Amino acid sequence: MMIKGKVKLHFTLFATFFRIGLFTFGGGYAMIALIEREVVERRNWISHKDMLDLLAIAESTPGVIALNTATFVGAKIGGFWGALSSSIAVMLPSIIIISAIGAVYELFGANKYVQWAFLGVRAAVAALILNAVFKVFKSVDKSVLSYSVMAVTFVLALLSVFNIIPVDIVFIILGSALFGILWGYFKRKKGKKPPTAEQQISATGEEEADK
Amino acid sequence: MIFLEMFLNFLKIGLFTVGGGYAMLPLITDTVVSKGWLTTEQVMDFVAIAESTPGPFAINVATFVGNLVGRAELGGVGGAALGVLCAVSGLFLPSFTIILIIYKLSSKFMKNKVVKDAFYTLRPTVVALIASAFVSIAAATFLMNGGDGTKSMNWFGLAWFVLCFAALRGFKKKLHPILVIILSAGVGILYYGVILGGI
Repeated sequence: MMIKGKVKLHFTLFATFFRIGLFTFGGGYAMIALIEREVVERRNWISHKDMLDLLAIAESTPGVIALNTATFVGAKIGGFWGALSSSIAVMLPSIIIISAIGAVYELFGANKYVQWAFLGVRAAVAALILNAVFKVFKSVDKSVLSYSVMAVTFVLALLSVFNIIPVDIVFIILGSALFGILWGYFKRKKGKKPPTAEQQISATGEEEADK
Repeated sequence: MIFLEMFLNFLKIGLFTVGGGYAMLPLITDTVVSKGWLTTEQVMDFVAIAESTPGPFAINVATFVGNLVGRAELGGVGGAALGVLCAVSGLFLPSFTIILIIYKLSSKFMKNKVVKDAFYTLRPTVVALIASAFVSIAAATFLMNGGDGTKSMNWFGLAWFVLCFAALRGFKKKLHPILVIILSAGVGILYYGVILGGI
C-alpha cells in the first residue's frame, strides 16, 4: 500500500512538471504562473507564501529558474527522488522537441528559404535580447553603486566579447559578487560605530600624538 | 574529448549564472563561439527557435548546442543524444545540487546579509553582461559580410530591429515574442529572397 502510494505520488509529480515544461514558452518567468496554478491551486502541494519564498530562492541562486523551482517543489513533496523526477520531467519536453527540431535544422538549414527566414529573424532576436536587458534592469536598485558596477562590468564584458582582453565572463561575475560582499561588509562596519564628534577629536588627537 | 569539455563548460555556465534564461546567453555565446563549436549566427538561430518552442529557454539552447555539436563529432542519432546528455546534465547538476542544499538549510539562507550584498552588485552585472551579448549579436546582425570580405551595413535589418523592439516594448500595441519571430521570418523571406533576389 505504502509503496503504491509513493509510486502514485511520484507519477503525479512527474506528470505535473512534464505538463509545465510542455506548455510554457520562454521559460523562467513565463513558467511561474503555470507552476503556481498547478502546484498551489490545483494540487495544494505548497502554500502561496511558500511559492513567493521559493521564487526568491529560484531567482537568486545559480542555474535555470524553472529547474530550480521544480527541484524545490519536488524535494518538498517527495524528498530526493521527488526532486529528481520533477526536475527531469520539466526538462524532458524541451529535450524531445528540440532534438527533433535539431535533426530538421540539420536537414533544412541549408535551404534557401530557411536561410532567408533566419536572416529576417535575426533582427527580432537582437530586439528580444535588448528587451531582456530592459527587463532585468527593472530589478536593479537605482543607486550610484549599482550604476557604477554596471558601467565597469559592461566595459569589461565588451573587452572580453571582442577579444581585446579575453577575461572569462565567470571572473566578471565572481568579481562583482565579491565586490558587493566587501562593500556591504565595510558599510556595516562603518555603520555600526558611527563616529561621534568626541571620538573623532580623540582619533585626530592620537594621530597627532603619533606624529 | 569534446563531450567532456561540453559537459564541463555547461557545468560552469549552470554554476555561475544567476537569473536564468537570457542571463545565461552571454556565457553560452562566449563559450560556444570561442571554442569554435558554433558561429554567432547559429546561436541567434537557436535563440529564435528556443523562444518559439515550449520549455525553459536555457534548456532549449543547451539541447540545441549538444545536439549539433554531438552530431558533428560522432554523427547520427547516437552522437546527438550523447551531446544533448552532456550539455543538459552539465546545466542540470548545479541547479539541482544547490537547491537541494538550500532546501536542507531552509530558506533562511536567502535572508543572509552576505547573500543580499552579493546580489546587490550581481544584478547590475547581469544587465551589463546581457547588454554586451546584445552588442556582439547586433554587430553580427547589422554588419553583413560581403562576398569580397568587405562588411556593409544592413540598414533594412536595423530598421526592422527598431520595429521589433518597439513591438516588444509595447509601443502602441504589445506583441508576443513568438508572433514577432514568425512575422520576421516572413519578412526575411520577402526581403532577402524576393526583393534582393537572394544573397
